[in-house]
Amino acid sequence: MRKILLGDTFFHGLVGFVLGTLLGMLLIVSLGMWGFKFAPEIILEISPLEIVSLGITVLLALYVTSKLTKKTEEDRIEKDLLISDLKEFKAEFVSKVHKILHSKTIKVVEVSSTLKVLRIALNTIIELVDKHNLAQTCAARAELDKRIRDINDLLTDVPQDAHDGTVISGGEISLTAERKDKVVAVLYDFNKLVFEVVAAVNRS
Amino acid sequence: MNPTLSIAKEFSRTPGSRYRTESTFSGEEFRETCLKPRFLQAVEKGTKLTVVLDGTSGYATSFLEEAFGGLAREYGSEKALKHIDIISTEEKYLKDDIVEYITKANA
Repeated sequence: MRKILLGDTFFHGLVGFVLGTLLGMLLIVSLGMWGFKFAPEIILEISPLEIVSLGITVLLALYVTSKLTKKTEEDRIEKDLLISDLKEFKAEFVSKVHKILHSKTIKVVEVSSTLKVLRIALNTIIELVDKHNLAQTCAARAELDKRIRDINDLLTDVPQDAHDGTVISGGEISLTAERKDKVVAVLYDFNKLVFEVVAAVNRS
Repeated sequence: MNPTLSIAKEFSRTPGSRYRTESTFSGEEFRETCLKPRFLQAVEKGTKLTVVLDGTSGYATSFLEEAFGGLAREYGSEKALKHIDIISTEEKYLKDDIVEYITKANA
């Protein structure tokens, strides 16, 4: 990879040099056509010090360009991986929650287990986002975990003073239509937040 | 060294819902048979009871709220927070959730 990048940089430098020379010659010819005159002889006086200085400048330019290109390439790879993880997580999360909503019996223990795995997975991705200083100013980042917690509450909690008709019996929860609608609404919000985080990672 | 209570080892790897009438291994059962007696021992000795959450299949909100929020409703949030410490390496965010259940229990 590194060789390819360095090779690319050298090739681009060479093309730039050839193009620059050609353009320079074209400029001289054009100026001649407009009546400008040049001295018939060009005296070349280059000291060894200037040659060394020129060589160092060219080498430095190539080195800095190759380093910057490499860093940019690495940053892009990291961002693409994180964005891919976030998108895959979103698809899996939405799919599993829909599966729970459409199943005939919803066992609280199974739902808790599924959501534990998903919440750990999300927090691992967010830790990676933070570790690489991506999307740190994005408020949606912190909101994602809250949405999973909201869904966990909606699918596994019957408050002491609950009056919405949701009951748990034999370890199974029977959700009211109203609760199911709330879960779907949180899912929509979750999708929006993932989009915002992906956009922030991409921009950073 | 503070006394420790591991839910997975001393109660169940598959905690259930809020009340005994709803499921096996409920939050109510955990609070009455495990958490409360050990909490009272810690209060008596002036130490902190460390509750370890790791090793289970996951927690329903009802279970945690009934166990820890229920304890706070009986003995007060301040006392509960003073004598209980939560450890969760698998799900670090659960500590914040439980502190919230304890704090809100008296509100």
